[in-house]
Amino acid sequence: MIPIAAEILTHIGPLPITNTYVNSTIMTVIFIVFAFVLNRRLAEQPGKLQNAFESLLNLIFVYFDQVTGNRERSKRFLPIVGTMFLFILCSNWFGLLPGTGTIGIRHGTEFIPFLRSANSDLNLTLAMALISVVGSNLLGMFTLGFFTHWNKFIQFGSLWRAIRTFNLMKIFVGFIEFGVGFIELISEFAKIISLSLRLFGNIFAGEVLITVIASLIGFIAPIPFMFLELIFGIIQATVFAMLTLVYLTVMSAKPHGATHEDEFGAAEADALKHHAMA
Amino acid sequence: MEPQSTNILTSLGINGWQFAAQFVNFSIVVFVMWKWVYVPLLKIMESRSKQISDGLTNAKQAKERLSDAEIEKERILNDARAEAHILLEDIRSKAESIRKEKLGQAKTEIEKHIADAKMQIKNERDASASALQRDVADLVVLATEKVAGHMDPAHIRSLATHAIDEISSA
Repeated sequence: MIPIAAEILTHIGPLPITNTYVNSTIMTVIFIVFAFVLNRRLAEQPGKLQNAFESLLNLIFVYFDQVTGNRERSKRFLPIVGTMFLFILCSNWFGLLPGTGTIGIRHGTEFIPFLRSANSDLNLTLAMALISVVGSNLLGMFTLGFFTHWNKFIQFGSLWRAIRTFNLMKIFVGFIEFGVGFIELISEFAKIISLSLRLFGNIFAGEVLITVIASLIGFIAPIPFMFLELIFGIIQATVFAMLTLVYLTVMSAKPHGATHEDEFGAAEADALKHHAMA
Repeated sequence: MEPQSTNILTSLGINGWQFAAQFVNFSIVVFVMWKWVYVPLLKIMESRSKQISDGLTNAKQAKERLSDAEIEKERILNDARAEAHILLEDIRSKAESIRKEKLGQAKTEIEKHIADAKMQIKNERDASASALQRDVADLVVLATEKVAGHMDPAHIRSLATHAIDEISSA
């Protein structure tokens, strides 16, 4: 049976080298090589590789624009969100290649595969979720200013303004908003947990499913599930990337008359609609 | 409480070093993609998009200029046609006046020639008449000489002249 924690192959100093880490490192190397080759071949008149990547970017921008509502903002968020999408997608699909989970070493009765899907390791999904949420908050601080951004969570300013009116109703609403701000702050941590566990859970479940099916019937039977995993790979990459895009968009948007949770709810609903369409 | 939460994290495979390593891996990918792919590629795409936009604008302007040039050409052609028409009319009128002038001159010339000719004919006729008179006189003298025999020629001539004058006055 596949353990939840990635299997340790060896140690380099204090760093345990797990099979998921091998996978993510291979993906990192592939991305570096790809970026280097593409960078060398960039030209006004695009070649096949550049053309293909530009087409992919244009397709990505169509979905990004629907969330950000602005091409400039889509371009601004592309490096993080686009890379997340591509990295998660490629990692998920790379985990379906023959050899992943099947070639390894045996320690007594325990079989340790050399390769395991990178996103079936909570360390990677947590790292990406942390980049997503911390990045969106940093962006909010730099875009709106420190106090405007954090006033969304710790609403001392709104509460003070309400108290100064000496209007009981407004003071009551001010206290409610103050409490809601704290709930929002907690929801930021919840975002990290939900993002990381969603991706980890789906990919890990897929790994387990294919392993179970393959152990029951070795040939042909896993194929439909592998096709399903191809689709899940796209869906999970899209969900993670779009939610990150929503967080970035919401955090960099100025708080208007609408409350923060309304804004967030609308943006997230939009993103989820796209996932459903995908 | 802490050992329990640590146990949960450990059972989920969370490890500080692993987390840092994965974080670094992903950060490297983001940095490399940002530096080598997205920034230069977006710049190229923007530049190309601008070129296409400029090209379309230029084509539109060129079309407008062509249309303006066509209108200008038509205007110039119309002006030239009108000017040519005026010039033609002017030339025609000048030619007509020259023709009339030349015709007048020719008529005058002809009339002068005719008058000269008439004068010459008159003179010649007068000269012929005088010569005829003289010849007639000579004939008369000769005839009278023949008839009168040996009359004085001067007398005969005066007689003849007298006779001719009478004929002429008759």
